[in-house]
Amino acid sequence: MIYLNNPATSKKKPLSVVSRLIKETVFSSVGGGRDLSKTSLMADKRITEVQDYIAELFNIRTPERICFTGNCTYALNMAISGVVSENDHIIVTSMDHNSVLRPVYAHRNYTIVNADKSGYVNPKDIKKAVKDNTRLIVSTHVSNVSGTIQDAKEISKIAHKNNALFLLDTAQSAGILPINQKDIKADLIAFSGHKGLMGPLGTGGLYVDENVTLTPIIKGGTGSNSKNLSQPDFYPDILHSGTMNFPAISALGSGVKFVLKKGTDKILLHERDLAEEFIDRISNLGNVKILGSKDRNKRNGTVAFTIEGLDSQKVSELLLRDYGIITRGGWHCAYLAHKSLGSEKTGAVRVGFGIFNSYSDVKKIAKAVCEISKSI
Amino acid sequence: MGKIYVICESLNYTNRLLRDLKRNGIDAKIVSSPKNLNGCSYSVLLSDRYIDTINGLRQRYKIKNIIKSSETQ
Repeated sequence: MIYLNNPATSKKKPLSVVSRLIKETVFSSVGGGRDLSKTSLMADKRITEVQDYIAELFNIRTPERICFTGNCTYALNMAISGVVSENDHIIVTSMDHNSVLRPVYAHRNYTIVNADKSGYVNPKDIKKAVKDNTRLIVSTHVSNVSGTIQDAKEISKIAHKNNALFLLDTAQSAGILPINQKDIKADLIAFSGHKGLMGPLGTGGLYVDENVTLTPIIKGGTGSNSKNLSQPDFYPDILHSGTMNFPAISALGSGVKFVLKKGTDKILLHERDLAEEFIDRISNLGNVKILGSKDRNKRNGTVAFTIEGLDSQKVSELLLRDYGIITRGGWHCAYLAHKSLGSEKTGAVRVGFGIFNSYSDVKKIAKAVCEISKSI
Repeated sequence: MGKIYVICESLNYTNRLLRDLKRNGIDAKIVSSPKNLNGCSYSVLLSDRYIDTINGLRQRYKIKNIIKSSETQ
């Protein structure tokens, strides 16, 4: 079986992640700081370590402001609900995932800035959308459909020039693209733990910059200030209500260490090379259309394509059934992205190369796509 | 020389404080906090000759209390 659905989750994990997850689950399934045992104390110490690794990866100065959640969707919801009030205006992009669009849609007062056909959102268009009461601008860093990279630094500048906050969704970029918070200056960064960061399912997080006042949507026991009925106002406790999934967070730390050791420059290069090879091999097929940017520097290792006359979910089904290749067909929880890319009617087949994929995988899927496209 | 208990808002800060003290060559350890004090159930215990250093770190590590060990008996 060839796994090419890395934008959904990185199915193959480094051995260090798997062994850490097993070890912690068996020996350290405790809440950090919830009892006086050495195990509990060590658990909390490990959580601070994992915060530090992520801070190192993102070049964040205040690791204690990195909070863990069950996934990036929770992080995005906490961020969006935590900083906007009823009359505030939010700007999002057509390339954003439903994990952004749905909570923003529920808020009601928003503008969606459309991307061009390559999936790129021009920051100038975001600037035009700013209103007096724009409180938050949200953008995905990399599209989960086409792999198109957005100009996070420029969007951040626009937000700040207009007294708005900038929330960067790094679900598809964390652990793959270099993310330099010192450069981007995002106010909030939501990340997924189980994709590019190589952690287990059920991990993600939110970084909240020091200048941001965020109201937590979840309040509860934090293992601190128990006598006080108010939610702690310090980080990370403010967003760490309830018992944390310590084994998963600890294993996430091993994933981040793997990424730090390998280097995002090497990871991105590898994934881009595979994507480029794949594009080269299928771009001459007359009925295959590749979505997103042709410029490899404007995309990551994700490639989406359509085959004329064939439904995308059918293509994905054929790839799995007849060739043993796992991809994802459909609209990828990002229908508006498909509208911008021109694939809203059929959806697209998304192929996401990861660090553990190889040229052999590229050859196999390219051959499969060729055969399927010729079978119509 | 006596000892001081340094009580932070939470265990996260307590762990960070301990780590950074050790990185700077200061001998310290985490112990259970003295009873009836607000703040974390754990404290950093170290020599009171570092009290000025600790006072300088109050903001950074959300230090709630600095108690001399003699005051807890």
